[in-house]
Amino acid sequence: MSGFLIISLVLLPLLGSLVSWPERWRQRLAPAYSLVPILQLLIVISLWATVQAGERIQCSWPWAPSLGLYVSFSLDGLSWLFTGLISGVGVFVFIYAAFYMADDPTLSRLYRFLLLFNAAMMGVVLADNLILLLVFWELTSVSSFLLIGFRSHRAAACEGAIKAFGLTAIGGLVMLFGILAVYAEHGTFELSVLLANSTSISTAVGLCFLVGAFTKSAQFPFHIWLPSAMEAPTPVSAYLHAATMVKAGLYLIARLTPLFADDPTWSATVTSVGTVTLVWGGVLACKQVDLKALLANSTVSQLGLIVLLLGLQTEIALFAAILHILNHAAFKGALFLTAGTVEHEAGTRDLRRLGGLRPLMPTLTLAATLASLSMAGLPPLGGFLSKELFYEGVLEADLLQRGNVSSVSYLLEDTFPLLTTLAVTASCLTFLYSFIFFHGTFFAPASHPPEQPHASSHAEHHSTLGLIAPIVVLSGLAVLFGLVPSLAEALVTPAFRVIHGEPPQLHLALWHGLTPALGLSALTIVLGGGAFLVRQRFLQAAREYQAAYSFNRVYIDGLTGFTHLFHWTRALYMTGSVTDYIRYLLVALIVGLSIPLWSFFEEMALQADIVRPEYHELGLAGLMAVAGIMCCRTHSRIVLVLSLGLVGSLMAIFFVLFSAPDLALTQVLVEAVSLVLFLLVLRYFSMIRPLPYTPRTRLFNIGISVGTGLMVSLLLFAANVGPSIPSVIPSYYLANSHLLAGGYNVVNVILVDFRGFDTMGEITVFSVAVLGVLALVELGVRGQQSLGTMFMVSFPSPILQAFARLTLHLMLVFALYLLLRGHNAPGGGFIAGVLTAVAMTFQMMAFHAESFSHEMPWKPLQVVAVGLLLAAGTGLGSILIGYPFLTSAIGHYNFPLFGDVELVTAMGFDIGVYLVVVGTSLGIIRAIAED
Amino acid sequence: MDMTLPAVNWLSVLPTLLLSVTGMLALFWDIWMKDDERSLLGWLSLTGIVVTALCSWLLWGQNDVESFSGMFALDAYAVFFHLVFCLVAGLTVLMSLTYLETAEIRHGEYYALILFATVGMTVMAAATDLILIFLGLETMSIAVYVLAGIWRQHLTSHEAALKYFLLGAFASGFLLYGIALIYGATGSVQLGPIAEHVGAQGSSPLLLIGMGLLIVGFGFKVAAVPFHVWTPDVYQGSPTTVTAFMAVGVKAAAFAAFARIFLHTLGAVHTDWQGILWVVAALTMTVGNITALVQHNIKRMLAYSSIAHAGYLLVAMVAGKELGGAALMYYLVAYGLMNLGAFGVVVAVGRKGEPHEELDDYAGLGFRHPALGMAMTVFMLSLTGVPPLVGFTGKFYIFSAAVQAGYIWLAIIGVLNSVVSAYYYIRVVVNMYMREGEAIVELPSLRSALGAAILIAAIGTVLMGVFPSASMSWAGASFLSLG
Repeated sequence: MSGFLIISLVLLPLLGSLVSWPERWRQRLAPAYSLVPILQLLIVISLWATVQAGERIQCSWPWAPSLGLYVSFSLDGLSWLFTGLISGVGVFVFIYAAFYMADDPTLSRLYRFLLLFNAAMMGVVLADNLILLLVFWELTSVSSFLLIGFRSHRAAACEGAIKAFGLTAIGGLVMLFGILAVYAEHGTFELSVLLANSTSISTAVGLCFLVGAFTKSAQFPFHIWLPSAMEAPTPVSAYLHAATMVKAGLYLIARLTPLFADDPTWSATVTSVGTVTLVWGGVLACKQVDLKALLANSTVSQLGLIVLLLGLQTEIALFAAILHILNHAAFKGALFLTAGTVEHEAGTRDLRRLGGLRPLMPTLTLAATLASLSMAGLPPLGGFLSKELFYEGVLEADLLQRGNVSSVSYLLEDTFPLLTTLAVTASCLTFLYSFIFFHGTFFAPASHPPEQPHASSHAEHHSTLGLIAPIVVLSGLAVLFGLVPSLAEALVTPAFRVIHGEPPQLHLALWHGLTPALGLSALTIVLGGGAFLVRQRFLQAAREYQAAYSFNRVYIDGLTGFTHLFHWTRALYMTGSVTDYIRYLLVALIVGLSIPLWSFFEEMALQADIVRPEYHELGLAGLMAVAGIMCCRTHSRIVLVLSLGLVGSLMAIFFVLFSAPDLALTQVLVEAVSLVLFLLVLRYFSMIRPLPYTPRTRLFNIGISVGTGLMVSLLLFAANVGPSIPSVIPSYYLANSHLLAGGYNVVNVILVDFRGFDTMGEITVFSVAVLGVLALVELGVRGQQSLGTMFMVSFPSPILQAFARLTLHLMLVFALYLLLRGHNAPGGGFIAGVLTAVAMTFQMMAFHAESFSHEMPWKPLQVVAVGLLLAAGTGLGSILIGYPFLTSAIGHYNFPLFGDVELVTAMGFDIGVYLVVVGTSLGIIRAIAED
Repeated sequence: MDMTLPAVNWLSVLPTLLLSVTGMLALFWDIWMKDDERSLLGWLSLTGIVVTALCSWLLWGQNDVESFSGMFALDAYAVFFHLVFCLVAGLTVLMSLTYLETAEIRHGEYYALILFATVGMTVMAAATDLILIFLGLETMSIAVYVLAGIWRQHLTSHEAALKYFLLGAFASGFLLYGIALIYGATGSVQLGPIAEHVGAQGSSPLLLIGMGLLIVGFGFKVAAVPFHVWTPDVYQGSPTTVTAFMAVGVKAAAFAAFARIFLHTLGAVHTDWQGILWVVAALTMTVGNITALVQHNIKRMLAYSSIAHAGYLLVAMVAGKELGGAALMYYLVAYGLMNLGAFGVVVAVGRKGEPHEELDDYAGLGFRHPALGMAMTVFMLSLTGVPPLVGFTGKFYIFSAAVQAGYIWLAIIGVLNSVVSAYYYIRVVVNMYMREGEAIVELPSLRSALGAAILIAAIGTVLMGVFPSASMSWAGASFLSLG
């Protein structure tokens, strides 16, 4: 049951944020969203008894258990206090917003974003699993982003939203490292497990968590986002940026305090960051002329105060910290809402224009003044209680520093009490800006008339109860905490017990007797009051002083710097030119290969004997090199293609020299077909335009070419001289080629039998390729008479035609011969197929391409399909009779004229290959010729 | 030595065959089809893909033996990838049914090419023989080269196809070279014997070079830095559905083979390749993300982001072992869902003649088309890695695998990169919700195949993120089937 209650604290707002009212009723029904925080508050109150008894409620569901991810929540005194804050302040803010934005059509959206935030915040303080906590943590950043940027038409709102999101998200990320490190070390993400075992966690990890907390709670130097966040509608500022979200960091520090109780670095970091923020925020707050900016900077300062206290880790300090969280939520919530009401009624938030509102808004004046005085730390208000404890805390710390807790007199005669001095300074600043706030708004004579005098003259009259009542209640709370200290104590104690382990020894009271803290309070009032009286002397100057360089500038310059850097790097290497891309590839190759090759040659040290090449081999290689260089140098595409063909043909000669007739035959024929293809295509191209290379680029290109060539040569060399694995495969093929597959041409047997499956795959690839070409070329621009056809028609050469007629059948018969004998002698389906294609292409060139295709009984695609089916069918045939796929059966038949023909079923397969090759080549050539 | 002739286990190639047959049917049917009936081809392809998926699903864990003399194995690992490919192809076909109309691509071959590319992918995932893997890669690549250029009205499409083909051919060459060298170093092209040899003899310089060349070849296909330069131009120029198919399908297929070879077969010498992959992974993530930051064209942005995601996947490769392998597979599914979804939205926003691919075109989309805006938000947030979406659980899986394998710095670089990526993904969301834009007057009805595809992707993105356990353990079990 209690588990269900906890979950509902998170789920209620989450579901609420999904509710969308129909357009007609939207504006009127929007305030109904306020039911959610009210319900939450009731739930929180109902859990009071459990928390009071010091119990913990836990619930958990598996998410990805193998990775340690659980959806687990737990509620103890600390969480309870925060859930109370979130729902309690939530109630007031939600009600206030209904009046503040009564006529604004975006009200409904604002509520939904606020609910999303509410859910996230509840999640943060209730999550037990650290990852879950982080999830909600980032969700608060996201919802804060949405809320700050709510008035998205304003550039400042968007900038503020992005700044806040950027800084807090990065903080969350650093925290993630901490969380992962904890998991790597302790194997769990569950906070309760870590706390129960009082696990020791290294300082570095602790610092990761602190960065997260500091960014969220706007601690120096991350504080810059909070003033920019004031672009949010005022209820949002009151809720997120005063009462709740910025407290998430405090929650985290408080939550982890037991784990770092003995860590001096943690304590020192937290204390010093808190102190700096406290003072610096106070200084900034005094300078402001915008009410919300003043409040924002004062929030920064107050958060610093709490952080400082959390860092001290003593009983008094911890108690004071929690108490001040409570107090701050009450008075700062009230003050932000005041700023909202003032702006709503007077049309400005500028202190230089405001003033004299007291007679117009007496209730508001009273409430706001009380809240300000609580902030200033005057008795008998809540702020006074926490200020007293704060002084006691820092005094104690300064005394402890000397290892001797005796008396104040001792303190004064030894070294300088730095912390106390800073604390008093900051409190004076607090006093000063609190007075500036309420005095400037309500009491000071209006120096400039407000923009809309009619609005302010009837202000109190017009301003509905709703814009004042929440302020009155919140200030009332600030007063109540002071007048009835036992109430505040009761609320704080359960949370304190969670952090400190034991119940507190101290008791809150307005009057503690004449303590040193009281003396410091008095001093603060005197100094602060004095400063307030003479403020005109220095405030003007301070406001006009513009620092040459601020943290905001650092942020902005850093951002633009990065953007420029990214643009620059992208522009530098993403040129869009394939030439450049190939260069990258080759350079990567050279670099990548050189390392293993180096180690290889170091190891091998040329132990293998190298066969000296023959002269004719060298000659051929030289010719190839020349042809290669020709390719690079020529500006004529025809020459280029011919040179390329020369390289290929010379390659074929090498194949012949090394006794590979099949390869040589294939190579020659492939060269022939490609040549034809090239020539057909080249008609569409112009001359090669020499690229305007600078000598440096040229040199670079030559370097890359030479490097690549060198690497590949070395690689080949390495592969040959290296320790070869004695392979049984060649000898096996040689021995069994005829025995098992009935063929003497081992190359062909490998193709159609031993590795028939591969060949099957190859011809499939072929088919896909021809399909692609047809798709791209043939089916493209139809109906236009293309250049190709005109070319074919305009140059009918009688000699060529006669020659073509003669050779056609000769070549076809030779192809058939090569196909049939392929199993035993050089030849085979592939070679025969290419030869046939050459013959047909010849015909096409000599006659009219289209008339030729009319004569062809089949379309190339059909030929391909038949070939594929035949090849597959032969393979399947062997299955039908119970053998594995592509097993050969051998038989000899005596055909008239042909004599004894050995028929192997693999022949069927080979014919399939033949047909595919013919179909493919014809398809491609025809497509290009006709296009 | 006793060599047996190929032993055939038909079941193991059944999914591949089903896809091939569907592809051929689509091809032949197209010949007799009238122009306005062509969308039937899409439905035919979809049926084939669904049947293939079902059949693969039934074969999961049934068939862990190698067949065709150790050239092909439809083990659970392969089945997992078959299902991923079917998902990708299926969603692509669904999106294409709408897209081909708006982009005016009226080619019957389109669906057949998608199917043949998928055939190639299934071969890559199931092949246990380097030559066969290469064949699969080529079958896939050639089909995709053509698909990239099938948008004939657009010069950018031609450019895309040409660039992809030229650089791809280069990479294929490296891959083949690498295979040859590995054959030279180990005496076999089959993964089983290679693993045995490597396990017994350790590595040698020749093997090292071979592995390096394989990394180049696969690195090109998965768009890893420094072999990624083709990606932006190709992704931007290709038809959007093809881009989606390339960004997800091709990448998944390449990783299927890449991981099988490196994590399993060459696992014994992982110290030799992990260092290189570490650097490649870190570079890929960083370069991809940083370059994506300054993009204004959404397809181009997604292209760079896909480079970054390849980087995350490489982190999983580096982490290795069961956890890394399973994380890789899980993330591929995650990436597939969210990326296909995002491309689906890009398709939906485009109109005839106006592709609407600039970031500015998305201004105000969230208010004007709430469903579409919501879907895009889900995909963008998931790509960023925001919980509870699948992008988060996927990245979490990968980074915790890296941390547990001791690659803490790599994990840190990865997480930092995720944050950088937030900038450009969230910017899309910001554009949709925080800016007023020119009204895109009408969009194709989402009550269409396209809408269904986006919906499926969105549901998957959410569900797999909220309930990751089942798919995680499934990925883990599949990876373990490698042995």
